[in-house]
Amino acid sequence: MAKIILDNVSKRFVDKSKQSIQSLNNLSFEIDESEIVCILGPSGCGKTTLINMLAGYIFPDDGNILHNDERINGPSAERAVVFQDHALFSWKTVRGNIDFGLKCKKIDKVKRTEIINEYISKFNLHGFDKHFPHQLSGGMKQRVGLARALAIKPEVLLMDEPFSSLDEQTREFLQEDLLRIHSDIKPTIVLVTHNIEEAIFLADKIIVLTKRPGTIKTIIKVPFNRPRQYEIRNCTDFLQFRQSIWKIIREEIR
Amino acid sequence: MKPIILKIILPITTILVWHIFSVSGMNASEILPGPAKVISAILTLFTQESVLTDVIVSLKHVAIGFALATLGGVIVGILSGYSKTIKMIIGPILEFLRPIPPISWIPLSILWFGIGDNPAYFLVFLGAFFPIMSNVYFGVISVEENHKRAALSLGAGKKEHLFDIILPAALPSIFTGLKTGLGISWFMVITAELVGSQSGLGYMIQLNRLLLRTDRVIGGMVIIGVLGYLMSKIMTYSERKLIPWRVTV
Repeated sequence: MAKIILDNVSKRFVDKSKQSIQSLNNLSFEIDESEIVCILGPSGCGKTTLINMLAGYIFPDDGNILHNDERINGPSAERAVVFQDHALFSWKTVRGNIDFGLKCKKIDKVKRTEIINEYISKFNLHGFDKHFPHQLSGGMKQRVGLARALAIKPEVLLMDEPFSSLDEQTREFLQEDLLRIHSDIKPTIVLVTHNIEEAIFLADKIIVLTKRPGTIKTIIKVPFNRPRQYEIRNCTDFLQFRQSIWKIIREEIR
Repeated sequence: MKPIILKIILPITTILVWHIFSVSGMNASEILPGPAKVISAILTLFTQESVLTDVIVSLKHVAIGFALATLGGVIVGILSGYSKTIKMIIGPILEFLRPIPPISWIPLSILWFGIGDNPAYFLVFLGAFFPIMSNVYFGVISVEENHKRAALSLGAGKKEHLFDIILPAALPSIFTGLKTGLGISWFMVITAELVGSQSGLGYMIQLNRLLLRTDRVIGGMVIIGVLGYLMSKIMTYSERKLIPWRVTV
């Protein structure tokens, strides 16, 4: 059964000069349970708008978005979000950030401590649990962002360019972390990116959007088996696949 | 030169010039008593006169007026930051009242509350309320959209939204309001006591002016200055303790 269904979704915005701008147009696709889907497209094609609609922060003008066959009518802890700028609560420690969602779920204190410790070790945050976000490196902040979102065991994890502000090495490590955790707890993941390599390395399927107004250019299944190791990036198949997707995107940028 | 030397050059020169002026015979000691006289007046005030009572009374005026202003300012600031409707209902009247200098309320406050503690409470409240309220309001409306969204996607209800997100996110700004408010409180309490009270440090220096005890007037001013300085130090210290996440550069 499809976890998430988009049915003819369109979204318009009114810009500063009061002109209506079509951001997304007639988007229809399905996302299966535990699938990792990457949304790829040129900048300004409405990728973030799409994530915001999936999260329930904004709503489509036309069409429906369903989660477990129910229309999304607002944010929910079943669809946790990882933000590009991590959006960690700067007034809470690493521990406090991870604890927040658990507290909202009314889980009792002993159990919460247990879960927090589990995620601190899953994301290698030992020794930093009492640090405040401003004391952490960029990569570590995003690991906390991931830990905070996953600790509440959401059905769906929505990620808006989560690794784009990190340097290359850190980004690769975090991608591997993400895959490792995914094989462990199997959330459905929707990840927006403009990095082709990242999309191929992570995704089961890649949805390529056209430039504005964003429509579906093509949906591509990624032919590589899991678990994927980092060396996969250097094999000929991967590079050829990357090249073919790049061609598709180039058509849009020009 | 060492910072400590740079810092004390001007104070020492001032005291020296002050001393020279006071012994030059140009002014009577009722007009300008020298530093030595003022220091001994301060000592007498503490040992033989009841200045400690005045200090306590002034601090009580500030404490009560400031506490009421904090309560009111935080509640009104949060409500108007939270709800556009409330902002529209109370915004205009507050915008009208804000530019009226609090000291211009002195005549009314004496008419309403008579001479005593109450005008002091009222004037301290008026002086501290506006900076606290507007900083709280500003803090609440400036909470980052992504923080609010992240909280909702982690399952935050109304209670968590207010106590775990809005309040702590606004706390640095709230503290700015409290610091400004406390400064104005101290300013207002002395003003209020000068004209509408029968106790407190403001009353004490006013009384000594009438008695031509200028040394005690200046002594009182020194005490007022030192207490004001200590208050702002305490605020800065509690700010550091309460807001450990604030990045200090």
